[in-house]
Amino acid sequence: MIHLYAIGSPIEQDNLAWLLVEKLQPQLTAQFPELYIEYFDRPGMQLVNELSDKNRVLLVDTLLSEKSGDIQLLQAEELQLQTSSFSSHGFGVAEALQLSQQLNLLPETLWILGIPADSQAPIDNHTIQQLSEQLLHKLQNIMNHIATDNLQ
Amino acid sequence: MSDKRQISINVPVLTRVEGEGALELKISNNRIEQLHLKIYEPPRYFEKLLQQRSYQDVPDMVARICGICPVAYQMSAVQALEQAFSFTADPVTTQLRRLLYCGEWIQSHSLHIHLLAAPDFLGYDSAMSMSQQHPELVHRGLALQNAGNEIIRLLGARSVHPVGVSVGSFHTTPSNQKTKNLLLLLKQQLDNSYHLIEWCAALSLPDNSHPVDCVALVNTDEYPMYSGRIQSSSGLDISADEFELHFKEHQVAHSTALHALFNGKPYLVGPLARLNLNMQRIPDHITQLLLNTGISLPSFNMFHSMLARAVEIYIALNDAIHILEDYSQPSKKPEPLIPKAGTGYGCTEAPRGILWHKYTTDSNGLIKQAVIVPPTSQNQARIEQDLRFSLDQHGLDRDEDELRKYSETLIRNYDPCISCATHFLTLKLDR
Repeated sequence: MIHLYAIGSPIEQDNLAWLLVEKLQPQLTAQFPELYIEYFDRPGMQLVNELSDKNRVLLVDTLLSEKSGDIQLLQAEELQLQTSSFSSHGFGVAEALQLSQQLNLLPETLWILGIPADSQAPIDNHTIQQLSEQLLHKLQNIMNHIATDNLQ
Repeated sequence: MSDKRQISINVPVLTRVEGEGALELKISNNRIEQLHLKIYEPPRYFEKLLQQRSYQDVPDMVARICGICPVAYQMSAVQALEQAFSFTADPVTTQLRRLLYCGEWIQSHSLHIHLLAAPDFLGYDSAMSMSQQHPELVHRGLALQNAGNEIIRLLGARSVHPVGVSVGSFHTTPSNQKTKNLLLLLKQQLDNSYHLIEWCAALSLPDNSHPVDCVALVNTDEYPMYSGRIQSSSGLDISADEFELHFKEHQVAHSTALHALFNGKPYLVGPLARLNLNMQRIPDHITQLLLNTGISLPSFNMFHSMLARAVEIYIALNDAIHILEDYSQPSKKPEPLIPKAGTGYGCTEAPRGILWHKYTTDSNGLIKQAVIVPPTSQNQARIEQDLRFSLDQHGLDRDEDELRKYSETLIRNYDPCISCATHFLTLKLDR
């Protein structure tokens, strides 16, 4: 079982990762039956518990930035700790991942995919289409990589 | 140090609380000239959003008011709407509602104690830095929080913003196998919850005891969560429909959340108020444990709030276990509910205190009016009152960093949920 967690909130732009995974879910689950997709609205520290007993997790979250760009494959330590209005009690994804790391509760393998969203501009359909194609391609690559590893 | 100095402390964003607020403090000639707990998070207009919506939409909509205590909003809402429709939920539904509430208390209190409050008392600035030296504390907090979340997930399909509650009953009831699995997980946390009380009771805490009128539900049969009469330490004893006669909300210029007063005065709601008014419902061995550590109830030391939460986790965990042990999935569907025009009142104990709802419906069950009074709104005037007393007692001649830290710790005793109330802390000190 491979877990894909889409993180988001109802706040426009912060919901981009969630929306993209939702759009791709039928195709992903048909192509990769071992993929289990879950959505989390600002899970805060509950994310630590969610990750603690999993071996392989793909985490897809929106990266709010000053401009849009390509989807990035990130390391947990690359995420900037911040107290933002998109987290609960000041505990966002970065804080949950850092705490998981300190407590040795991170999954054996964790892929973090950051979806860039321009915090200053609304997201248009063309960008959504472009990003969903990019996300699908990246997820397919990761899943194929896992399959190859399993064969070895 | 001269007592003529003028200090202005500004905490522009209060950390380790839910929502956005600030504290402004002006000290002049060693006296507090101005103290404002500023809540600047924008108003959310939930009461207006509910108008003209079907009663069936209400539990899922009000759950969105808070990511930490969605169950409380659902429980007060269904209670009020069922009263408006002259409907009485069946005993299984009532027990499952209490079970769901146990889940929320366990997860919310565990989060508060281990990740929000504990760093204050162990000398760390955050849970992150604390976890490097005290990983066992954080592990315990996460395990207990997870137990609470699993209860919510059982009945609400997911732990954040659960969707299982309906006016009249639940959309579905859990299978016997699922409840057995959860029972095992909860029993594994019993030792953790007992040791948590011991740990909290053993902490060296400040003492800011001073009189305050406590308000909470009181129930002669059980520790109050879902039901009870609204009582105060000053002798009030009313039902939920009499709330508006005694409790008045008013707007203050420095807050987007309404302040509530009881007979014109600040009052305390929340775990310590509940514990003080429901001492008889605390298990004897826990009362003895507290006495052995020098803590007697009622306590008017707000620093005992964390201990009160620990006791409530223990109570909620044991209650949840008992409910699950007695549970058998009903074979019959609940009685259908028929909406009608009316007004209903609901009052339940959210983790942070009493949460009062009032709904007026038309004959089709559409919401004509909704009034929601959350606990943090009720505690705001009390927090300002406490800050004035406790800062004075602590010493206004202390340096600014010390006053700022002490103020934040005092405020966190209340575990304020500003998002709920906005209708919270950036300290601005001016002296």
